[in-house]
Amino acid sequence: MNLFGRFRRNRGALTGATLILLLFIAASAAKIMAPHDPLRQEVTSRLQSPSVDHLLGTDDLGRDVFSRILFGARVSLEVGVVAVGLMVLIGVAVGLTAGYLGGWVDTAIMRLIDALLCFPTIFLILMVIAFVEPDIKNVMAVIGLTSWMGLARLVRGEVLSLRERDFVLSARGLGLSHARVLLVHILPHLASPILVSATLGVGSAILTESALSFLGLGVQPPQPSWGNILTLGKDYMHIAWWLSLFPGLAILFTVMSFNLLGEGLRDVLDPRTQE
Amino acid sequence: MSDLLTIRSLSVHYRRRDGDVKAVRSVSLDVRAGETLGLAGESGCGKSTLAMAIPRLLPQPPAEYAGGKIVFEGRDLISLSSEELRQIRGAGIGVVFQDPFSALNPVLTVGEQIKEAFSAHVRPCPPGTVEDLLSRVRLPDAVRIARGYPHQLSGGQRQRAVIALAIALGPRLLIADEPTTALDVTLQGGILDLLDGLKKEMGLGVLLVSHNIGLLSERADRLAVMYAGEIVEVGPAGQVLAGAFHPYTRGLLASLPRLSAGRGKLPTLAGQPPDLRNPPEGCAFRARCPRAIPACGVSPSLGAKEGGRSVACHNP
Repeated sequence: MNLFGRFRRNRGALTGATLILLLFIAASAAKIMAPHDPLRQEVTSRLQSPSVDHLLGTDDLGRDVFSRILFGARVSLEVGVVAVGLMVLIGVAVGLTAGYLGGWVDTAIMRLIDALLCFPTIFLILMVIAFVEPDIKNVMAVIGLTSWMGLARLVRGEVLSLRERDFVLSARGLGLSHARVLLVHILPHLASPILVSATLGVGSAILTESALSFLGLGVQPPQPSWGNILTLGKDYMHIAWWLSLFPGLAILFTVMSFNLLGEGLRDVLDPRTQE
Repeated sequence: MSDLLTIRSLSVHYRRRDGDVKAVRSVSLDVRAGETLGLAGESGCGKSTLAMAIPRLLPQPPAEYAGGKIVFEGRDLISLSSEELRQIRGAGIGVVFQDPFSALNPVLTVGEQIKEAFSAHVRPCPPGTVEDLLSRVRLPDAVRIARGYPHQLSGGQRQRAVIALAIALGPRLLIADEPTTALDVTLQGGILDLLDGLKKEMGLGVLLVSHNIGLLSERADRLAVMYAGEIVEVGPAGQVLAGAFHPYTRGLLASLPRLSAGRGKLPTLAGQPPDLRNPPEGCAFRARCPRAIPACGVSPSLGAKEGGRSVACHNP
């Protein structure tokens, strides 16, 4: 069965993809869809429970939570995509280098990765964030720079076995340079593992961004992000449950969608799981 | 006929912890333009190492050039920089690999792989070139095959595609390492006919490596027999076949099944080839040789005989 057919029959992948598509539409149409300005404060209508006018209620400054979550989706997706872009760039480059060159270069790179993996990622990120200004650009950079190790290992392992294949020797025999062999003959084989890791990576990058914003080290108020809405919600949990519940659900469903899609893609793209 | 490739005293070793394997030991060999040189020998005699050592396609380490020269069109390949060598690979020397199932990249179409060879050498590949090449290796329906992936081709078609890749850039020397071993016997003749045809059309020098001395004696103009990393006999294929000088060559030829010989056991060579980590003093074949004499304790050199033949034996 072809790839598309297998994808359609994989319920998880399909659910994930649909939810992600809806999320992207909502995020890009946030300006049109949002019933209120996410930054406009209306002290007269603060901490209102969900109603027709304020679908998901209002926060302590009277801002519309639904509008803020919509705009927060932009932040989350932007961070997810950019951080993962950076992760893929570094991870693939490092993995290709280590796997193809082998020898002491490989050993040095792999030990460096082992060392980096010893630090719990969140502490590594907090440490870096302590030195730079907490804003969305730095958050993206830091997440990207601290998450590439797993992918690099994966790529390196694949390259180690691919470079021994006869078609690599054959390509060298035709006078292809090492760079050409890597990019033209080896990289295309890595498309599916990279795609799967990238998709799963988006979910975890969004989660990390929310955590940082929750701790006040990520996106700074008044700019809305799911994490910093949650921070507010924490203070009013006993009187305004909607302030915690809805951004929490937004994070939950988004991360779950990316994980469903990522795991679904892994099953669809891996020839070993075919029936 | 001029010498296209001249190998002189070439030695290639594989570095190993328990001692270097001396896979190719002081080999001298010539391949001329427009001829097929057959390189025969049993498994492990170093013939593939020799073939892959020419375009320096052996992984280094563990392989290591321990001496000698490989002169291709006047340039010593061993002393070239990797960039100079890259320019010769494909454009000057084409290689046909043993296993057509793994020599093509499964994720690229046949056409893409051929085009890639052209762009690696910064050569234009005008529309139609790929199809033209595929028809030259007698692949029917070249347009469909150019767009197809390797898994859509049969074994014989793949080997033809591999040959198309090898000749794409108009090399003068073609190295074919057991090009038919992985194929059905019924397809072997077709592939060898194709190599013959290309040799005549393009004036190629062909180094045809095989463990099958019967096949080589039909297809090669000259025959070189390798044993334990050394060339033991070289000569025009017909003459070697009619009257081999070296006892090893005679043993190989005698062990070929013949229709006329009737039933019965085939003659075999007693014993095992020597361990190439510690090759014996003197003639490597001495221990298995029916004609060994005390002089065989000293290594025989490849001595010239009449009719362009030579043999490395004290008591032929």
